Amino acid sequence: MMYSSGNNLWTVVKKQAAYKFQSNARIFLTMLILQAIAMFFSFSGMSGSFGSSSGQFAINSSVISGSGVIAFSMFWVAIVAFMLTTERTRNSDFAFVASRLSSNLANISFLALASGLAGFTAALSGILLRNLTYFSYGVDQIIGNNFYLNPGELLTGLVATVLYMYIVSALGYLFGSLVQLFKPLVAILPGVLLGSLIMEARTGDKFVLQAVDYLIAEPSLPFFAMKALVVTALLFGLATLVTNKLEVRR
Amino acid sequence: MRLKLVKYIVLSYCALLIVSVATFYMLPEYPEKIAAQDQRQEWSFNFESKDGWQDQFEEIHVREQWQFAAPGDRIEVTATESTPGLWVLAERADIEEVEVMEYGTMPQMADLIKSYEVELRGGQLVITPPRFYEFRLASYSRDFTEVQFFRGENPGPEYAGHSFGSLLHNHQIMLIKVPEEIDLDFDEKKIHPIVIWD
Repeated sequence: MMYSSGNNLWTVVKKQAAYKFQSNARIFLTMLILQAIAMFFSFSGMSGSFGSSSGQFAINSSVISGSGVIAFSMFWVAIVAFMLTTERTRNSDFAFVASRLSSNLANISFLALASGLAGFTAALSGILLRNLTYFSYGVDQIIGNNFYLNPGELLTGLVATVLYMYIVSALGYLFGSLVQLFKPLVAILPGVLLGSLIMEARTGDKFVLQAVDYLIAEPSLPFFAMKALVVTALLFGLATLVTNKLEVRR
Repeated sequence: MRLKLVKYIVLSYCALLIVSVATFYMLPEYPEKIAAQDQRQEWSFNFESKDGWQDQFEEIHVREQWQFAAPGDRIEVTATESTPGLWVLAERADIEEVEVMEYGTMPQMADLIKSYEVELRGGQLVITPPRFYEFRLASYSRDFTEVQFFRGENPGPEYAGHSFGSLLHNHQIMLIKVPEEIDLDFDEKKIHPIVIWD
């Protein structure tokens, strides 16, 4: 009796994820470059600057923050997630005996790694910026408020940043999947989002902002983590369902 | 680019960040925090009594002191230029010399803020403000992912919830004490005393 030894799903997912990591490794250098650029802008006072004078002296001050690095990293992870849904990337999955499900799971695994790394490095870049500020300005010329971050706060910020990266990557992945289903959505969806935000600003009825507040207004880290993971799972799940509608190969 | 090289670059970056965390927690000292500055004007303070007026200022400290031999029976207090930021208090006291004290209210900025110069030239007490200068400061604003879960005092985004503008309200106060028998005149175009205690 002849039989074929079939690969089980997780074996295929692991092989695909490893392949994606190898073939997309250069993307992580892009992340480094983007974060370096963001740190340069942040250190130059991108987060804010102030100049004022009175009587005998004037103060020129810079407000430095790691939020710019986090924002740039979120942009990076969204683009990476979108790129994974493109036809070229999808077609490369056919080098394996794969299904849409294993392909999506491999993409999600890759994005989990990318988001984790982006969140980790973006959160810690805030400390690097603080060190750069300390050694450039000197301790006497830094306003100490918000400078010191205790280890607990650092860890909280790190976890929160990683979770935000997961959410953004899931959003990027879902957006990319929808665009693959119907290409004009690449313009329609951002247009609808922008229009909704403008309408909310004018009418005061909040839907999109309320949905965002659901996450960003949560003050408890455990609850935030739960919400973030549920939202991420839902978004990835939806993307998986959408990609199942796509043809096997074009 | 080879996978190994990419791996080494990324790992080196992560190592740099971890080392920076260790460095941060081993810094010998951290910058001092600055409380929100009192932005009230001079008429909001009580200078009726020469005793205890300093208690109205939380961090008042003497920055400079001068002493001069009494020049006669009259002193004119003037300045080389207008001194809008300087509050001048005057007192006739049971002393033999002319004493001048410059007070500041922001000890954290003491090294950055320049003092006035005071000279007694014959019958004139001349106050020379420092030449206009500027200095650079930096402040750190918490990342939005930290602010969301912050439990302490106001986390910003501006430091301590107020703007740099309040730094300009460092009150610089000069107290001029002269012997009781000396008459004091002020060049009101340049110096306007808040109070003269007899």
